Amino acid sequence: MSIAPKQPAMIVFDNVGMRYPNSAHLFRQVSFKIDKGDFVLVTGHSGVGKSTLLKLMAGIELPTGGNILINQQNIGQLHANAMPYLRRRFGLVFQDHKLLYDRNSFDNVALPLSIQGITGDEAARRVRAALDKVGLLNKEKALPITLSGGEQQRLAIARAVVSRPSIVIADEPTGGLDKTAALEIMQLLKAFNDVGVTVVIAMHDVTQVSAIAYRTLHIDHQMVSTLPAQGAIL
Amino acid sequence: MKNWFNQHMHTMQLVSLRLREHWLNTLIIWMVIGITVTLPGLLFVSIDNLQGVARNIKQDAQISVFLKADLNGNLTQRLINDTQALPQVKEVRYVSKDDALAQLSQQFSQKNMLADLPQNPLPDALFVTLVDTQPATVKPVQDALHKRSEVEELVVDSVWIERLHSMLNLGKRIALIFALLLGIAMITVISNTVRMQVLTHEAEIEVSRLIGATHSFIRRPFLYMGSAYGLGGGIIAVLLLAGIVWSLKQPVQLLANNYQSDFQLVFHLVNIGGFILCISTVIGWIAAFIALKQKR
Repeated sequence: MSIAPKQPAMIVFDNVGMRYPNSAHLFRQVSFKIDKGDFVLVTGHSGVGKSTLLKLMAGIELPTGGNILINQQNIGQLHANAMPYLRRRFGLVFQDHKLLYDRNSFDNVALPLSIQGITGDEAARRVRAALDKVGLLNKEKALPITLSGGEQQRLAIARAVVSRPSIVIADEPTGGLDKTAALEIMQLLKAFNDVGVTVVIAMHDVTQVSAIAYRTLHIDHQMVSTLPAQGAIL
Repeated sequence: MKNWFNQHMHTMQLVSLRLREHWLNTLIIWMVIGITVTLPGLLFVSIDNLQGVARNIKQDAQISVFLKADLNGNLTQRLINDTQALPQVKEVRYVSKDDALAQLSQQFSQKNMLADLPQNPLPDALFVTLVDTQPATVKPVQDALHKRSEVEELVVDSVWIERLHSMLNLGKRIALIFALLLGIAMITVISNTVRMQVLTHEAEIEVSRLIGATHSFIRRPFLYMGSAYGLGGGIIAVLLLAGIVWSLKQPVQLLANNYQSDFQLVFHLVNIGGFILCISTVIGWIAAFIALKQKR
């Protein structure tokens, strides 16, 4: 937990329960807070509900019990029409990238902007800035299929940050990458965190990233426990 | 406001890009819709032309009213006044039986033939000219005169016009039924095509939804696409119709000349053409809307 004077938490889970129809509870009465500027890892074995926890944070799934507050907004009480606007505050990096393979890198990154009605020069400027940050500026014309795994993941990150979200949520962003590539991704995400972006990452293999300071939410047996912040062990 | 405008411009660019990218597909759909629209369009054009003919018939509708024999002058005068007072009546001409006989005998060279008759066999008559030939004008006058006891017999010279109008009405109804059926066919074709496109853009739709696209943002390109299919088909239909009318113009004129008529086949580009474009665009939009409704 941050020791700094309390400003309203970014994400609050208050006694959240979650179960999918016809299956057992994933969580019961989970409560925690994520503050602005936190760098949080969500850990746990596969199948334990890391992705679901992230989806709950991003308003993609709704909890079956309790309350979730994003920026003090209770998403359970949010009108369906307001949900898209809430989602725009998040930069999402999906486990399976969800890149669009029918268009080049530039157009992939431009998608969130066009959803917000930003097109033309303004959009191009911001897309190139995002591609530059992830080191893919020279690949803007490349189709995603021609990129390596690490590059695809970085492209997905560029798409997540192009609309300057206050929270970036990444689901297994290092999955399937070797150690060097994984570390690159983590450093990239940390760089966004350093400029004030709240970053939440789901990850089953923490050893890969021990080089970076983080707070951990550990999921086990339907409960989420908060582990203290760990120092950088570079 | 700027964003709103941007989004619509962007969608239009996107749609035109997709149309061009799959140009063969686009062309085929436009042809199918064009021909589908042309069929009822042809019926409408024919009716439009016939209506033009019916409207331009120069001959006035006339009702010949034959009066009972031995009617006294006052009653006759009253009938003339009453008839003249009807709003549909332009003119009433009274021809007494003596005048009628005189006219008749003028036409025959052998006056003796008529002079041999023991008495004038002709009745007094009124010739009522009406303001126009529409059934709605003829009917009330006809009914009013029919009730009068002074009247022996009515002959309406415009019965054939009435028949023409009934036939035109029937034709319009048939055209409407055709238009409805083919409209449904059009909706089916477009909505099926749009649904296919939704399927091919499944990944994009999913991602867009996840990163905060509104419902209308996701639907907009498909609605525009449906409208574009309708509009393109409409344009082809209008071109086809114009071509058909143009190619029939001369034979029709020739035929009309044979009947001493200066009738000309016309295609009202602005009225009928504009109507076809509007309606086919709207149908395209509706079809896309239905396709998206079925989706989710």
